[in-house]
Amino acid sequence: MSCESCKVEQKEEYGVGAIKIALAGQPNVGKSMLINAMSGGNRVKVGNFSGVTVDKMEVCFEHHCHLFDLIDLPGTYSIDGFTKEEKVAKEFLLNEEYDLILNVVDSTNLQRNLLLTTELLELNTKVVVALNMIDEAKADGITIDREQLEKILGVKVVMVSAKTGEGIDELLDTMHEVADSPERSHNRLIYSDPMEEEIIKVRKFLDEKGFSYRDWSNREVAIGLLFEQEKLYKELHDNPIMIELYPMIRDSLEHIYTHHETKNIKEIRANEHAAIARGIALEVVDQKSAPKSLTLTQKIDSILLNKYLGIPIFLFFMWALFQLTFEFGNIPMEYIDAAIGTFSDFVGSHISSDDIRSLVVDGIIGGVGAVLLFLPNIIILYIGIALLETTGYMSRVAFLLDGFFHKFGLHGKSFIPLVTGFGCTVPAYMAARTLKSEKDRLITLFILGFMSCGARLPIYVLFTGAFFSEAVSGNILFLIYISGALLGLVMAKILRVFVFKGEDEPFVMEMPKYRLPSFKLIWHTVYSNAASYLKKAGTFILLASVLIWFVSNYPKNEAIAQEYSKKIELAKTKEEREKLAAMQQAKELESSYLGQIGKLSESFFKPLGFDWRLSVALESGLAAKEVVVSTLGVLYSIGEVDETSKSLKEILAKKLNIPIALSFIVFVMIYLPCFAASSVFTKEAGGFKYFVYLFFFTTMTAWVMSFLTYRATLIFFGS
Amino acid sequence: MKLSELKKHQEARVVRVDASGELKQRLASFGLLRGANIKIIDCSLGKSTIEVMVDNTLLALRKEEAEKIEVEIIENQAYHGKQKRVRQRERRRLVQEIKK
Ligand SMILES: Nc1nc2c(ncn2[C@@H]2O[C@H](COP(=O)(O)OP(=O)(O)OP(=O)(O)O)[C@@H](O)[C@H]2O)c(=O)[nH]1
Ligand SMILES: [Mg+2]
Repeated sequence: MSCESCKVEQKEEYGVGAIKIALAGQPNVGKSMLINAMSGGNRVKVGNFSGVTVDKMEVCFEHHCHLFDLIDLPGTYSIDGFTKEEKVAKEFLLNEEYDLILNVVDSTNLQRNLLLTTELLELNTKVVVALNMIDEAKADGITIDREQLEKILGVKVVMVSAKTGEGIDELLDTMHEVADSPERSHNRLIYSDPMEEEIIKVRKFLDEKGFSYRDWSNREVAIGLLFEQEKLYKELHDNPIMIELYPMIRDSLEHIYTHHETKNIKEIRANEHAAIARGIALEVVDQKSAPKSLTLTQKIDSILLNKYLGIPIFLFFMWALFQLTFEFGNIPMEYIDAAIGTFSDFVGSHISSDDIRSLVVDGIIGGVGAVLLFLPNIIILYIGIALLETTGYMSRVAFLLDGFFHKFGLHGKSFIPLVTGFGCTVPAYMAARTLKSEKDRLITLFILGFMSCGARLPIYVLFTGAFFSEAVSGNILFLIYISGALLGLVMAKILRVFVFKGEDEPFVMEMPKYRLPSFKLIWHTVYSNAASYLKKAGTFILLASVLIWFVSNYPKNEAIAQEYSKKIELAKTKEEREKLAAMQQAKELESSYLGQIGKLSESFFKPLGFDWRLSVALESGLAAKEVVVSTLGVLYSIGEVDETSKSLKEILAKKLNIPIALSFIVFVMIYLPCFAASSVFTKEAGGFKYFVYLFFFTTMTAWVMSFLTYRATLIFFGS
Repeated sequence: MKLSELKKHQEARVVRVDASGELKQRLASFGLLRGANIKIIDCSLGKSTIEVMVDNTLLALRKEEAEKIEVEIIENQAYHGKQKRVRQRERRRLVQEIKK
């Protein structure tokens, strides 16, 4: 985001700065979608479960010649949130500079949402309330008395729908107006009788002393003091008025304690807010019958969360997804493959220099082409994940699996980052922030790599396609993902027992309503992921392929060339000549830089059945998993002189066998995630030492599991 | 009675939450505190995980948490319109008082 830069440009043009607005609200109320609707783009991620946004995100746009600078914050049920991502929101709201808070509220669940609104009002900054999802409220037969709500809260309230676009303009204009007005409306909430009594007492005293603090009214100061707002106490600490205030507040609190039967001020505050929220909802919400969407959700839940059927249904969905990924993905694959082959022949025949032809055909087309081939599979996988994220089913699976996960020392909520991990491991590491307990979070971070990301899918599709019949490939794919997940669970248990011992974390999670995902939403997720895959193929993979090509062709070894050219001349039959040529290429490859590097690690990988090419492919996969396929593409197309079998799949089928293939798949499944993911891991886990642990943890597990797979399948299939 | 003993779809009200500070606060932030309406929607095998509806919010809880929530069954709801009028009168009185 280049918000800083656009602000500067616009400033010169209009002579005013941007209005900086913080979006605060409970999770899953549509903050991110509202930002997309207001800015007219698709810049922030939307999903139907709590904890989609886990980091703050800035979006800048212009409306009626005025610049808006919106900050999307993670949803938080209460300002004193517990999880890492809720703390991001708290930090921002309490410590950063902004012009106003836009409190986004779910109109279909006003009462609970008001628990946060009341807390925000006590921050004594400018607030505008957006009653979002008004379309859903209308469909549910809920009406809200807006004027009355404005009167009670003392702030502007706008009804909007991020989905239909209703009220968006009005919201922007209202925010503009509120931000520009020199006055801030003061907190008008009314607390319980005993609380009010004390507030009035303290306020009167402050009035008499002629006290004033910032732009706060003395009533607001009194509320802040009674609710023990830390920041307020810090700033008033040296003020002489405190000498007289302390005993007074102590008396007042005693009175409040007896009324609430607790000395926990946070609990008292929660009770006060709950009472206010209940009262407001009673006054402004009119609801004739039970909301339709909630009833529907309950009906669907009675099937999908069924005691006996719930888990089988989930497994069926997953199985179906991988079947589709393989079956449907393979249809366009053949055409893409043929097109790349034709293109490669065409380009090859137009380049006269041997070296350049090899660079373009073997290096660039061989490498990038091998990766492009799998785009259809990736797209189907992403459609599946997007459906899971946008329908509301995700939280249901977390619910279903919690009992099972719990036995393995994991938290049901871990399911959300784990599923995200099937797409890409980078956002998955971030998504683990929604776990409250630090130990749960670390365990989840450590096993996340076992959930094979989208970039590993091409490797699996390639190898299963090469060694298994079409009919079973989809099942094998499903098995690969399931066994990765099961291994992750076992590892979680081991980590829980030996490393991260600790208390069980309570499981409390909101279950969103089911929502029909809009085509636009799915399209956006799939499109942006496919686009980034293509972009990566055109940039990073391209460079990597050229690099691999270079180090596998140089240095040129004249001795080998001479030796073989003599032998080939002497050869009598055509077969013999071809055989010799192949041997020459293999020898040359072995003496190249890459061959030398591969030889270094050969002994490490040999017990797993990998030759140096496979070893090098695995090592290059540390940069990015797509590179494994492109490297194989380059390496095996160089060594290939037999013109009849062109596709990488066929070459692999000829050169390797099932035990090696399985062993390779297992290694890929387990070993270290790509460089980008590893660095995010290091950041999220909180130190380089964790990366070192992860490196040893994954490498050792990968080696042992591959070794076992290789040996066991050797006995079964023979070599 | 405890929430975990409640039958499916039985309407109840929360009387007390016997949890320690942090959990109590967290439940409160979901709207699960004294006075809230609650009912069980679904549960997994052996009731180990439970889906409840708290006012208009669907929540997932474990059995351990459900055991800490004391509820009472509601027989017949107070008339909504009356509650509303009482509330409005109350508020007007308080506003007057504060202005003084
Ligand atoms: N019908 C309807 N659905 C909406 C509206 N706004 C958001 N949604 C849906 O509500 C869900 C949550 O939207 P998000 O924008 O991801 O919510 P969020 O507040 O950013 O959530 P977190 O990032 O988890 O805090 C998505 O499924 C949206 O499609 C709306 O105005 N009407
Ligand atoms: Mg969001």
